[in-house]
Amino acid sequence: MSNYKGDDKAAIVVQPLSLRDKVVQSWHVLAGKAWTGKLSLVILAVLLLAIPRLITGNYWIRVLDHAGLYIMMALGLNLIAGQAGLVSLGYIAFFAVGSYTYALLASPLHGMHLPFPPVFILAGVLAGVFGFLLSIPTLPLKGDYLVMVTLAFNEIIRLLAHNLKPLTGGTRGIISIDHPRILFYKLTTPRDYYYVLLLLCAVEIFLMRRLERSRIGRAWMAIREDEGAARTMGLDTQRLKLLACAIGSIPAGLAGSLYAGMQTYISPTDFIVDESIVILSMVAVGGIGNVPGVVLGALLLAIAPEPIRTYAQTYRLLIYGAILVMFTLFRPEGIWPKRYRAHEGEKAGGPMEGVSGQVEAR
Amino acid sequence: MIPSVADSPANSRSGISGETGNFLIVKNVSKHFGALKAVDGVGFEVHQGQIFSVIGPNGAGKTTLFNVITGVYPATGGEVIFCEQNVLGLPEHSITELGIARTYQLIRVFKNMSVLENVQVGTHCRTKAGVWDALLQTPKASHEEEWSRERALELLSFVGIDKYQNELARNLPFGYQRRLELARALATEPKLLLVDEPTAGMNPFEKVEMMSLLHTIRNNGVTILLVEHDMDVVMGISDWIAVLDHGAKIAEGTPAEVRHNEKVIEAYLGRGFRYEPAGS
Repeated sequence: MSNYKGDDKAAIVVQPLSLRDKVVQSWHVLAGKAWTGKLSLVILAVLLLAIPRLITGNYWIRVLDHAGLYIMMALGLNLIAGQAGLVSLGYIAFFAVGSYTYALLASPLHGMHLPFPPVFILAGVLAGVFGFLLSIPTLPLKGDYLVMVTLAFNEIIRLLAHNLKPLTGGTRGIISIDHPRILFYKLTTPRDYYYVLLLLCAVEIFLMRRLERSRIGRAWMAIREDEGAARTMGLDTQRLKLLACAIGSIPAGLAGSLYAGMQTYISPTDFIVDESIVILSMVAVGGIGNVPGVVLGALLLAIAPEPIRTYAQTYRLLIYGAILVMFTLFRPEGIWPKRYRAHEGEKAGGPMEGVSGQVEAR
Repeated sequence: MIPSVADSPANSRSGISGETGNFLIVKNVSKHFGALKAVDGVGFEVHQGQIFSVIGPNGAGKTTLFNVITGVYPATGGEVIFCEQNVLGLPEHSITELGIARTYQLIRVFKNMSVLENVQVGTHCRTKAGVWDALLQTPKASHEEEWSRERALELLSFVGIDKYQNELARNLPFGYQRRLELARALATEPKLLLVDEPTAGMNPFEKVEMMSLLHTIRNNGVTILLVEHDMDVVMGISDWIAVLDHGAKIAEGTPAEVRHNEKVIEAYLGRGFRYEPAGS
């Protein structure tokens, strides 16, 4: 009783290491070395650059292009839903904003053919502005209510595209959208888009990770964890939430404008709620709040249904639904959750090793 | 020792004003929920450097009073003057910036963040780096980040849990989560720290440790407003005590005065009891 400190420590059970733990540990030791990280990054980059040369035909490249768009969006949504905890079911609306921005300014519909790069930037900015404006009324909302309202926003944007016929071409959509031209190079083949998307995704991952680890990223996480306590800790949560929604919507706008140029045809049916659900599934399945996990989730859910496409098209949402339910039940933290590694000084087998943390999905 | 705050990059802390008096004046504060008068016309004055305790039976309105002072609830009436400024009606984060921090009766650490990150969130209102600083990793951002990290580590070692800095907060034992809350609150650089039942659910040894920790914090220049249930704890540590019952203040004074106050004894134990300190 007198040895109070000792008592307290004993409360944490020290568990013997299983084989699995040992493997995980040696993996962490290896992963902790700077050179392994750099080397694997180089190998990954070479592999990604080589893929279009290794695959014949356009089909799978096109699949990868779409996966790239999904990665861009999933990372954006991850900032809103994973980092700041504002679960949104209307994310595709911002993709629509980007798509229509480019489609309207670079197609025969209004006879305008503006160059791609500035419109690409504009699409991102507009999506950010929409994200900001749409999040104002949702500020006091949480959980289910927030989901309902964002779902409604999704429909509002889609129906606007549907019904503002003179502006958007209505149900028939917009055809013959210009292929994007960057400097003197015109992007036409799926391989062109592959490299552009690869670059965009790489830049986005880089920036998202910086944001995640910043003062602002931390503040978003605190809001996700406990908004009331975050306010009391001196966080202007309203401002931070607006900021998350604005920044998180930008990638969707950028991806949207590229999509419009890539497909050369868009219509309101591209932006149905189903797509928002798919993106949210990617974030949840991959590992909500963890950038690499989200990338993995997006890749997986974008590529996996392809081999069974003929059936999958009909039952796609059913399958996504089933996957989502299974993950919520059996692995709520996603495939690749964020892990906190014990401090260097804290050797393996230390008191807290057995309970080393995983981020719990919410 | 609580590390000095003089090197804060934000440097937003003006010199500590108003030596005694005028530090925190709670004037006639009321909070009604419909017909329920949770806090009804409560007033008292906290001097700088005190450990001022607010005690009272369950449902006396102590936590509600805390929530009013920190801006969680808008008050029905009254004034809370902190360093010559009325803080009622200010948003919560502004009140924290002025120098009032708190801990919770039911622990509210950020469970899925590391222990270090939890404390770093507390430094948010004393740092300024924005989105661009983060994206471009400006010198300002890295300098602040380093400062915030060091400061958080200092505070963690001050409360004695620095070796768990990379652990998720939810994995900490209960008593350590309490300490983490204290470190997080101190990271906001408060002049006044509101501590809500810091020893609830603790064993006698943990209680003693917590009390000595609070003592040290006070001795380092942070005034403490304490809500507490445990009479022995309160009597031992407080400079001044206000007693609430059914939302109203029924007594105020030094521990010795409060201990023998008829009204207090009645509120706590019913008519005809006399308080005997434990162990005497």
